[in-house]
Amino acid sequence: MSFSQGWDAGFKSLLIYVGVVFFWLIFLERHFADPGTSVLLMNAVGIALGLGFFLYRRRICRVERAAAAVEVAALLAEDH
Amino acid sequence: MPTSPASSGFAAPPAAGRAGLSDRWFSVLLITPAMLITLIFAILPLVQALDVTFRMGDLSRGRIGDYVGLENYRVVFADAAFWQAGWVTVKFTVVAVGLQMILGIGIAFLLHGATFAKGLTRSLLILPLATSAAVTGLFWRYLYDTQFGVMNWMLGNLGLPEPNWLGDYTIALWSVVLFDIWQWTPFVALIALAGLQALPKEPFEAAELDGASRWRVLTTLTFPLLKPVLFLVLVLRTIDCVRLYDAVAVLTRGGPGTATETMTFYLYRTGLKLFRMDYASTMAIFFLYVMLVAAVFALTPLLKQFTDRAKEA
Repeated sequence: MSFSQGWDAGFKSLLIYVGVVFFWLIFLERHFADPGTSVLLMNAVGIALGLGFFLYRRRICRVERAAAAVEVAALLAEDH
Repeated sequence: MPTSPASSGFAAPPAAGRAGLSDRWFSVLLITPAMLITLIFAILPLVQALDVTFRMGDLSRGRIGDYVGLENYRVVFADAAFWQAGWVTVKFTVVAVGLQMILGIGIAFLLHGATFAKGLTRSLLILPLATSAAVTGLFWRYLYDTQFGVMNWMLGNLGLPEPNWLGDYTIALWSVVLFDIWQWTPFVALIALAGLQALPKEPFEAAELDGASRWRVLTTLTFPLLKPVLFLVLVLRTIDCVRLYDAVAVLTRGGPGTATETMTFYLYRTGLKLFRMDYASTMAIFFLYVMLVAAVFALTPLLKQFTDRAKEA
């Protein structure tokens, strides 16, 4: 995973985390009697989704890199 | 097959004037001033605004107060006026941008086919754009005036009802939309016209030789080739409409009641009239987040298109 790919995936992960926080505060928090529990759960869900997205993007980038490496190797072999 | 100095076993000579810096550090040096300016004028104020969203920030008490956690977010999200302002912003953006795109593209096609006074019309189209909304807004206030306005004078002469353009809550928002359409349709028209004039001629000549109908040329050649330009204009106009402030401030001040109070105007009123910087900062951060997500979604197809073109090349 290159720096720019990492930056892009990291930024989108942050957006997902913040999105979960906003969604939770707008729609879900009113269903909790204790705000402490709500905030704890909200952070857990936000971090899980953000981290999950980052790992998913990292896997995609690795697969794409491997495919590109195979393609380049095939082209080099063709040249020789 | 041509070989580069590196591949042929020769090391590339160091570039002159870089004082022995590697390419990597030279790039870092070039980008540092821009990064510093961004950091000082964009990132630091943003971080401070973010800090205020977690604190008590009633400026009538003279200072930014103690840490209150997510309380400001809870208050803002429970505020009906905030969502009402959001709804007004959405209505304004959808109608204004939609009409501006349709009218702008139509004008661009008319101008593209025109053979007389094309340059003069193009110059006249720039006039609404070249004037500040604060100034043109004042003109429009006089146009909309119920007693002395030109609009009602014309309607009266035609025997039609004379509405209170800016005072009637059912039509005040659409009066602001009309003003925005007048000011920004020329922008869409000029960009679309530039796009039309830059289109390659060969595909159109080939279609003409093949006997393709005008409608088919329009749907299979003109619009697909114009798509990136139109998409860019759409994104620019949407961003501009969502953060509408000046037209509302000059024409209606958010009234009558809160009928034309957009998100940015409500934000201004909360922060600088009611001195609640904590709530205003919270709204600003939420607003920024919505705009960022919208930008990511809007720009992804455009960037993908550029990447695909680069791959094809």
